[in-house]
Amino acid sequence: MASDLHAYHIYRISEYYYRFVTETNAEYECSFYSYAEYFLQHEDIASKVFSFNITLVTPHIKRKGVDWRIADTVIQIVGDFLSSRVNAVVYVCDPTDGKGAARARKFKSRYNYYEYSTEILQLGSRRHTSLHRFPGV
Amino acid sequence: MDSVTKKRKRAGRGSHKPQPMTKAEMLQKMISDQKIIKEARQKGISYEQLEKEYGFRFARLSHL
Repeated sequence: MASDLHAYHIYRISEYYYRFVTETNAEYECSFYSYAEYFLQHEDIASKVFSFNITLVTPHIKRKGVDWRIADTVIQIVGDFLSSRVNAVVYVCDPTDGKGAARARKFKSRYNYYEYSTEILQLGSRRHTSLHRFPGV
Repeated sequence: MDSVTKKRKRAGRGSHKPQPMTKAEMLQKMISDQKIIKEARQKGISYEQLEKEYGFRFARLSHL
């Protein structure tokens, strides 16, 4: 899978987050924070669940269509995180700006494109939240 | 800090076991937390501050 990706260069700014810059000079910041509080009744997996957070730090100078390298970069970051030690990552498709459905569609399309052998669960379709996990968790 | 977070933190410090959230509470807090982090970072608040003052716990990341 890694050889198919055309990710942007990823900078580890600190132990808390990564950043990458696109060809249109948009800058994104990525981090993972614990979702253990949502799994208190499942102590064996609670510490292994994190939420993936991506923030646009510097907007695009001039956006020209879909930039699939952003998705590739996110896949590389999340993929590395999953393979390092944890089993599950939650991605919340922010609906507060009215674009939650679009984010969910984009997430699913990239997920299906790479045909992951992991499992994706969608919680609360109205809120567009996805739980991405490995089988057995 | 939102009221749900405050309740959770208070519950964690005491002898009472935290009550499980309803699905609606979970989703509301997930979105709220995401917004808090986004706005905090745009204001220049550090991750260390987010951990200390807002109760978030960030994963420690390795080099890629």
